Amino acid sequence: MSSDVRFTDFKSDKQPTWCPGCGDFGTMNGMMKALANTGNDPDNTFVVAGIGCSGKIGTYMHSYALHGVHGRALPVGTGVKMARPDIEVMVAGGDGDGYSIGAGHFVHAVRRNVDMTYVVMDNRIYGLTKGQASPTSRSDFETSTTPEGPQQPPVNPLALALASGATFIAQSFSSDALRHAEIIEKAIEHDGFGFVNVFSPCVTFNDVDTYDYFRDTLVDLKEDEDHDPTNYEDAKEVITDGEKEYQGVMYQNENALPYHEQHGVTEDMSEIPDGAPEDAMDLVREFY
Amino acid sequence: MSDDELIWRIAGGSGDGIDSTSQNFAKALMRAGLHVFTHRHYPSRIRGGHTYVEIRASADEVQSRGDGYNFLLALGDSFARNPQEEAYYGNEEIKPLSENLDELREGGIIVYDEGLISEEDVADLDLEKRAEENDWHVFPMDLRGLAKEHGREVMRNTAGVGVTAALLDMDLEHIEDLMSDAMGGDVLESNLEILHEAYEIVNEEYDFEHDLRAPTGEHETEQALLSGSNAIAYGSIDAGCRFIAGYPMTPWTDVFTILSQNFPDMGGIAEQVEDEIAAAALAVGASHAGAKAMSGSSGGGFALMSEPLGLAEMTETPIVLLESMRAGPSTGMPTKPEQGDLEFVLYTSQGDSSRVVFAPGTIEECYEQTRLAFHIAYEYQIPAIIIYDQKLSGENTNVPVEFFDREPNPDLGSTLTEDELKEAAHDASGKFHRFAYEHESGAENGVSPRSLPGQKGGRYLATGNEHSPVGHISEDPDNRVYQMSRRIEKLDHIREELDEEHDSNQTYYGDEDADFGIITWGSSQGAVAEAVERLNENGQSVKAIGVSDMMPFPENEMVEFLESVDEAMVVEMNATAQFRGLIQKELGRFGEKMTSLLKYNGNPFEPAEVVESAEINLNGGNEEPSAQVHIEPAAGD
Repeated sequence: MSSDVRFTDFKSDKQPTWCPGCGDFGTMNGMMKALANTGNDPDNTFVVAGIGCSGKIGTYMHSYALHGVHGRALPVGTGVKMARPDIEVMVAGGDGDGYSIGAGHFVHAVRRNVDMTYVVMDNRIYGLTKGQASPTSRSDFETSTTPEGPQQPPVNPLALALASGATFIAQSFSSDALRHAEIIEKAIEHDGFGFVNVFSPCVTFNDVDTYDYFRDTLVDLKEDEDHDPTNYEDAKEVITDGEKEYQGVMYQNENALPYHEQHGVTEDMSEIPDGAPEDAMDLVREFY
Repeated sequence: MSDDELIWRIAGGSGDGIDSTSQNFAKALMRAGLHVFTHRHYPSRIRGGHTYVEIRASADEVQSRGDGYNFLLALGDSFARNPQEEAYYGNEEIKPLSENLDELREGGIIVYDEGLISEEDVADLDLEKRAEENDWHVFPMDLRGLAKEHGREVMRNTAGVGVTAALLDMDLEHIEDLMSDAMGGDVLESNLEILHEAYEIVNEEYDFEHDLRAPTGEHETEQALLSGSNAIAYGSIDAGCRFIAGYPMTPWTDVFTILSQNFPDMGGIAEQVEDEIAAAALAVGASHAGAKAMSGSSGGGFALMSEPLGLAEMTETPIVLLESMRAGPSTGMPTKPEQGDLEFVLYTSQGDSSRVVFAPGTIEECYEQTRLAFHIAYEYQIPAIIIYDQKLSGENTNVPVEFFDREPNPDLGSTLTEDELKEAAHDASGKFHRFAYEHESGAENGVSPRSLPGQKGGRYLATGNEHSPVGHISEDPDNRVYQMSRRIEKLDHIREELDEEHDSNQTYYGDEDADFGIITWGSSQGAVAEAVERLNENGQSVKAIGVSDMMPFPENEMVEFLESVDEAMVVEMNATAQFRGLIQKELGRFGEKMTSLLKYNGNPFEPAEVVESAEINLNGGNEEPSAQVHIEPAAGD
């Protein structure tokens, strides 16, 4: 890793096809800044993305990247990181990717605690398919496929993470650039699965969860001196608060071991061993 | 059907230790110098229910379960005796003794546990009369009581083995050795006591009027008793694979278990994950990052792998997947074999398939073709699938240990070093042409060399979208045609390599000049091999081919075989003749030459069924076969 890496080194020459004003611009910029600020080198960084607007991030960043299948970014990223503990892995996806089609993977990625960062660009809408309800849409949010609104409560991803045994839970807002980058930095530095739900407004299809809404209502935990992120009860309180929404680090368990330490697998697996180990024939003889 | 062979069936309740007992007895026979082959029949439940294992042993090579059996050790189902459980289990008490009794050969031996199977029930079976008619020799013995007296009731298996050894005039040495390896302390002591006591009771109290004895033989080299799952697992290790992710599903779980127990000691990773989508996706991620990786499942779980499989095809990520078939559709019959997933494995996932599919037919082929699957997958950056089944997964046979003593293959395939990356094509922003046009990469086999994460100058995007050389999403028609053709044409280059640089994966049997041919694939190969031998001994002229290459299809070999015969019977364990369909699709002719022999009742073919159906075909094809098999006429008939 070199110390002179700038955040623009993480930027590809491809112009994003996101709508002008899309929250994803800010989300991505913050990710790049955080990667640079934490001393990561683009050659040593792997970005895995899912499908949807958020999924295109791998094209716009200039690192190693894989733009996979809808909902499956986490398992692919998990495989990359398990095989290569030496690589910085950042998984990015949308709210549909992470909390709907990939919800099962989310729960298990959280509890597996592989040392990577998971950034969810949560706009509470399906944008690329032209405006259908997402798992975080409000229950009365009317869309083409839910004319009366979903009539179901939205998923609380932070609570889902907490219940799944998360070791790092945070939330940020794409347009609060400095704060957003700072929170992602903390997630990267966390020794384990760093999960950040980022409010990343869709300016085309979501007229409820807008920039103004978040700007006006979001409470920053930085200003709450009583909040201790290492305290589970404190975390539970802000995460399950039905009234207010927060940004900041809700919860961090610094004592949990990340996967590779827990399992003692710290080697770069691309250094393939010479096939069968020397005593491999003993394995066959076990069958004698 | 050989007279000097033993087919020993041990039957009882599942959970009664039938598996471990039979495994050890098979090893003892192998160590005594015999060729062995085991066949497992078990229900999908943890305890109770009826299960049996057959061990066929002979001085000559054995390639299938054989026909019927000649020694029955009926343990009785202890669980069915619990009155509270009777509601669930019904009266399965005598099933170990009664099921398939008509398959017991003339002159055969029956040992049953008087302690669990009551006299009244035996009377219902009319055993005395049938024994007289068939020259069966019946030895009732209180195995349960004997076990209880010297140890615990569950040790009645050991008593059964002692009785078996005595009746077959076998030495106890190997059995004792294997017991000492597997257990210790009081448990070992009790078991040895029971074994000897049973052995002596037989020798002292019974009259030996039967002719059946354990065959005698000798092995020239050290042997190992392996299942297809063992061979696949070992082949993977040999190929440098150190990463497996999976989710349990019968019968593929065996391989997952073996590797989960061995990888951690080798610096590898075996991870049980939330579902099969994740399992294959983890393997794709690991392989993409430079590990040799695999995953697998049975049909139901493999269905979930369609997504990551397609992603591996599109991103040209090497990966090896296993599919151990069981009877379908849906949950089907979880513990019964079938070859019904062929079309599914060839074509699942959207878009045109670019994958390699091998169907090994024997334990040896499981090992060979797993190694080959890794070689091809990594060399050509393509998913390779091993399709096998419940039968091959769990059946054991002896293989010379030296067979497995090969050069390991740690090769990662076509990757560039950092120095080579400096010379490689990049776009203006510095992204590497991972999916390069041939004039850039110089590759002639469609393979564009890859970089690995962490390398300087190797950054690119891998995507499931159609993409440009650097991996950016591209819908440009010229690029699309180029990239798509390159990926698909890799199969032609693989076919070329398989034809020219490797021994054929197809196995040939019988009389080269025969006009009647049998075509089979996968695990039905063993039964066909024996059938061909018998047909030729009976004066017929028959040959056979056991096909393993499903994709890319071995066109030359199949054309040659089909042109050389007047008529061919395609033998497979499914209801819709999927492999025959594949042959017709790939070759576009020979439909009028091929009939099918199909079986889908949950049991694998016995050689005699193949013999009978071949003879029916040779006699004009107008009779119906007697067993639960089905003859499907040729196209146009």
